[in-house]
Amino acid sequence: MNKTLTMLSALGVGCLLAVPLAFASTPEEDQALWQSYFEKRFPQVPKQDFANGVYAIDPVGRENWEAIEEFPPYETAISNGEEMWNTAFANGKSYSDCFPDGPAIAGKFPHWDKEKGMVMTLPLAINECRTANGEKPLKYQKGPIADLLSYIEFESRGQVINVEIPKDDPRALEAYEKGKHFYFARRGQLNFSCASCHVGNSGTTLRTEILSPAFGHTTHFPVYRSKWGEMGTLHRRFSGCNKQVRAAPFEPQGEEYRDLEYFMTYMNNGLELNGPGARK
Amino acid sequence: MKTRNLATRLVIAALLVVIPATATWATTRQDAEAAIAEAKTMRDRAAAAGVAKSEAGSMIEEAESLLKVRQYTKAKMIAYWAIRQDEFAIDALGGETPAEQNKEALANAMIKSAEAAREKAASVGGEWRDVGDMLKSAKTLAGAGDFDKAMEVASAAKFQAEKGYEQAMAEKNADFPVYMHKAVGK
Repeated sequence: MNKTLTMLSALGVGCLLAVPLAFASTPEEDQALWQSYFEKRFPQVPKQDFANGVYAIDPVGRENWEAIEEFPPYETAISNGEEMWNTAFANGKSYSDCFPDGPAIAGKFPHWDKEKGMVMTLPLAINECRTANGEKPLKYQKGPIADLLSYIEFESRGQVINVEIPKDDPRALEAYEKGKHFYFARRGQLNFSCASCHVGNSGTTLRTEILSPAFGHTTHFPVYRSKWGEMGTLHRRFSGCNKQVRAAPFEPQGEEYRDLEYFMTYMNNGLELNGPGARK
Repeated sequence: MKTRNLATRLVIAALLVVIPATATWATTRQDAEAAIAEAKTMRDRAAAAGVAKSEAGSMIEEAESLLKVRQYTKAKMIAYWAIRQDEFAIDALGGETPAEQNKEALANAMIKSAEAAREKAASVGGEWRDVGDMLKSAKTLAGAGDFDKAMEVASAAKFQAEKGYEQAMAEKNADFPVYMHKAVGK
């Protein structure tokens, strides 16, 4: 009797512990759900067009945007970035020495860096290159970093996003899960999550603006944003969004935003890069 | 035609009055520089009187940095608060504020408590946007001797910090929402 009772109790506890695991989804399942959701929500949008953000679902905005793209406001940034790429550091080395496959390297980022145990993003890699060669790191939200990224992203246009979450390092999955949690957790005095606007309310109007679908968000950064009157990076936008819901923003290129970028870019696997972009 | 001519003339007349009149309420660079100069004079007086610690120095620097970006109204306001910091500090040194000492202790305690709440919220990624600025404002008010207002602001900061922490804890298991699964028929 005691043995039976013990066995039944052990079985019960085992089942209770297994329940969360039974409902835990894999990144592949998450990605399939994410992409299906948006394809069902916006059936008129061809899959690749999600890379155009709100202009995939707003025909009037798209017309204006296409007119802007004839003389894109990010052209100067691309030229400046090209000059930066081709200018040697004080020690005689250049970005090509850090990125021998460059400048068309945007498709390799973000990725999991097993050696460092963290998500490696392109801006972070650029600054690592600079500091390794005795140069000052660039600030992460705007300015020269946005110019250099504009050039690299322009050269990388058409590359298909293919972020991997290596199965041989559980820390990579942990970073992905942290990024996923960040995306769906409500924050700030206004109690919004990223999903509040860009998933559940995508395509609806917030004041005068149509909320863009989250699918495709990371394909076209850095952007020339009319509101900024200049170029800005993805983490600048993260920071702005957090402040808009009255949450304290996190450090650009800090762990929180890098993990978030990792999750969001993985969700966009299969889309082509089309940066830099022009947005309102 | 006559009506349109009259309307046009009235608009022009109004603009001829309103446009120059803006100079009467707009803060000029000279106004801001004068306020900063007064704050510096007060700073020197305070230092001479033995006021070792004061927020006024950094506030004067902040006001001067705003001149470069033409934020004259804000620069003048910050210079004003810098003057109040040192005015109060001089009064306190001279023993002119004995009745306020309890309130000062209360205000400082509330600020400390709010700061701890802010750190707790930040430790779980739940800090709200305005808490830092509210704490800075509370310290400025306390530094100027306005302890009632300082306590009010610090209390509000603490409330927001606590709510931020509760929110972050409540969102610990945030994941894909049910409506996404339902939308794709799962």
